[in-house]
Amino acid sequence: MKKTTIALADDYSVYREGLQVTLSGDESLEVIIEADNGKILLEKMETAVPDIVIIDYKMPEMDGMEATRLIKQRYPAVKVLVISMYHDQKFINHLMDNGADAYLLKDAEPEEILAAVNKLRN
Amino acid sequence: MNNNLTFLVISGILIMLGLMLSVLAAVFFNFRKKNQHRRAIQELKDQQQALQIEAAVVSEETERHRIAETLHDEVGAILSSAKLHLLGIKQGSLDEKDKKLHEKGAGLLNDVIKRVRGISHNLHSNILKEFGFNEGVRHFLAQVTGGTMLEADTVLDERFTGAGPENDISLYRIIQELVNNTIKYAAATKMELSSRLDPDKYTLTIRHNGNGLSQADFDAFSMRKEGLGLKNIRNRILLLKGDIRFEKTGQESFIHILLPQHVLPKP
Repeated sequence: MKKTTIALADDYSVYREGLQVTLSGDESLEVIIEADNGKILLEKMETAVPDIVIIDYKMPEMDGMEATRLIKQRYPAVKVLVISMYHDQKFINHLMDNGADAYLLKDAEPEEILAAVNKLRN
Repeated sequence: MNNNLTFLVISGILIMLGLMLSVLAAVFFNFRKKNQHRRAIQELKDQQQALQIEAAVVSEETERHRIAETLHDEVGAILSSAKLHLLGIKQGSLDEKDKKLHEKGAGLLNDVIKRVRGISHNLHSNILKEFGFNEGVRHFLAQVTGGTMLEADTVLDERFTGAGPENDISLYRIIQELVNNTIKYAAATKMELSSRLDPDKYTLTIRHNGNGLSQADFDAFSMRKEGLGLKNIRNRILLLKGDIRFEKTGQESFIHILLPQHVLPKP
């Protein structure tokens, strides 16, 4: 069975490691890209396009909002899950307006993260 | 002879009067000059005090922002990652005792994540910048009164779109301090935060049914060294060139914050 490929973009590598631990709980998922910000993510996506991008909102150089907009413009089929520390409804609406497919708080439970990823790939 | 004497006396009186008038005029002008000088010095002192307050407020905000950002982004990311690592441990591999420890650890981590987020939001709210003053105030009130016995409501004048980023932060800090004090000391069960924009002023009123401060209490407490919170309020009001009025009528307490026209947005 073909694995679902994932890109992780977060300026804190420690959080990316945490996500790796959670995603490793499902063997059908494979992380193919790790990036410190939106700019690096888009550069890496020129050589390998993942099925799902899990991206932080607040990052240097290019934040998650701008990166989401560009990903959706260049790769409309790629699903974007934004994970952020911000939880205001208007902020989330703004993210969705920019093309995000799903949103989770950074302190979400591992089950919630896996459920969101599963929903996006179906 | 008599005529000459009369002439001399009258001349003498006139000269004396002239001299007295000159002395009086000199004293008067000197007094006026001194007064002008004193006023100029007072104005300079006021300007210097305003600059000192502004510098203190700006450095406090910068520091708050730095701490809030570190807590929110850096500490928040580490704590969230710690949680994902801890919950990555397969429960099946643990005995009953370790399962309980694992659960306890995860619960404590969740608590600390929430606490850190709360502290960070209190220190510096991005919501003010992103969504405007009224939304920021509503958000703060909902956060701070959630899970308490205090029933809070807002009736905000939507025509007020803010008084500029720095003034908005000052006003927001005043509200934070006053609402937190009310929760901590006034034992109120109902609170209403309302605002009204007039052509010449903006009035924000906190009304509650607790035991609030009187104007005399505020004036006394805000001058004390240990009354840091109230002193901060007084300084920020000075900076805004506004006014704050405390009022107690029957069972209710009111705090009115008034902003003058010059800080209001141009129509």
